[in-house]
Amino acid sequence: MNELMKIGVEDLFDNPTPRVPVALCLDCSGSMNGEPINELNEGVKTFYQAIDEDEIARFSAEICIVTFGPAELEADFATLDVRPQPPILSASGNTPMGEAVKLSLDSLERRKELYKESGVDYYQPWLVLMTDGKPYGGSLELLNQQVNRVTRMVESRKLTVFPIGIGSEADMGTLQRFSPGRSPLRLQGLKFSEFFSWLSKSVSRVSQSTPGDKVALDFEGIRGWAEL
Amino acid sequence: MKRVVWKRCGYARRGRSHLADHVVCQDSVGTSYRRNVSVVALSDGAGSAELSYVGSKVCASVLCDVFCRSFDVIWRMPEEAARASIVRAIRKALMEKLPSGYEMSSLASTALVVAVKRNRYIAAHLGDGVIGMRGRDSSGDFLRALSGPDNGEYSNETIFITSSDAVSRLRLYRGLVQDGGSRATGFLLMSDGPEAALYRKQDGQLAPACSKLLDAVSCSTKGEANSLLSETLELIASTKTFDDCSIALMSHV
Repeated sequence: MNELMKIGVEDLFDNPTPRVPVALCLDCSGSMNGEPINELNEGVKTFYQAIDEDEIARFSAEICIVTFGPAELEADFATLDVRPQPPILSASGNTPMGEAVKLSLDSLERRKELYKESGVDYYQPWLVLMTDGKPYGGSLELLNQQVNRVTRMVESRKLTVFPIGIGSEADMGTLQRFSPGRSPLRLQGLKFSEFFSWLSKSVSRVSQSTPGDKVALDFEGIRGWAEL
Repeated sequence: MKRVVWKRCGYARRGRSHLADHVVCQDSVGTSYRRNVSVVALSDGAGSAELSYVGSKVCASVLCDVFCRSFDVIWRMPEEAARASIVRAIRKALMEKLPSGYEMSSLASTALVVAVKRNRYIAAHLGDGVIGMRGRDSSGDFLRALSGPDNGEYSNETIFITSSDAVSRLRLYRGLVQDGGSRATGFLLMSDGPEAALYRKQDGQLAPACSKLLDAVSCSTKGEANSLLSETLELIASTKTFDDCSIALMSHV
């Protein structure tokens, strides 16, 4: 056969890896000061490290971090080759949960538009909402709007949401409103690293899934970090 | 002596994920020539469907059979009836192969086929993967996607032959090989594995490797074409995707 017919990588396209957008919406209000915020920072670091060590997830997971107290976009969606280290989070202020969820979802919508414009495939986005208290210092009307927005998205399979309570003061009732069909979970003590390690494995499984795959959550793994 | 004008070639190989998990290849290809009809078919079994490797084999085989036997009927039928008839034929064969205790969804798979009879071609496509077409017109040679992937919003979603809306989602194309100043000279089917390296979703372009593969089918011996195809799929499977990879080609000689 003619040598010119041989096919090399130059004859192939270099398509972008399908993305898994993960929005971390984290309560960093004053009550998180001290050990909780330190453990949260360690947990987020664990998440980044675990994603970095995964051959597929490293190029597919895009992480966004929104904090509340006040609501701020600490890091917009990016893969680890763009932003290899997480921001260091500090605790202060109130708990404007509605504003933070809005910021997370708005950022997610912008990212999805960018994927579509650029022809980048993506998986169902994830929203992780963590709080140690109840919404305070934000608009109640906005909170209700965001509850409805998240509910609509979850019900139409546009979003997977993980509401997590931290400690005994976490308002599980509000978290439940953000979680149609699945009860929110309460973290065992300050096991942020265990939670984020579980989350990275779940992201990894999604990033390897192909059409027709049903990606089931690792419920056994949840026992390692959640109060059940 | 039978004069072959469309040479055919197909190959399916296991992806890295299935190799690591000791799961068999869920892609299947089929090629056939009967009753003056040349056919290539391809099917990709759904990831989590338990018997999708059986489903994809049945699907590729039935597509070859149906188009060889009923090309003229499908050509003449109203489009909706033709789509329903193709889906019905595949589902009937799947039902016959379905072991007791399993649901039809366990055989979920995609369906891609191109059949040529003299100056007419019919292509049908359900789900992801791509059907490519090469040809020549007044402005020179062209290579384009005749039918792109039909995914949902998300990367791990598509439609299967066992899905409730398979009939309405099946895309059917009927055309002439020589149509005015334009002539089709080759067809290529691929599953979503090689799609990662051979199809650019952003602008619907097919990679240069597609032309080389079609050239190899028309200009080389069957053994050489098979060897180039398996080497190419090996390259794609080792560098571009973790998924199973399959390609079926038909090129005018």
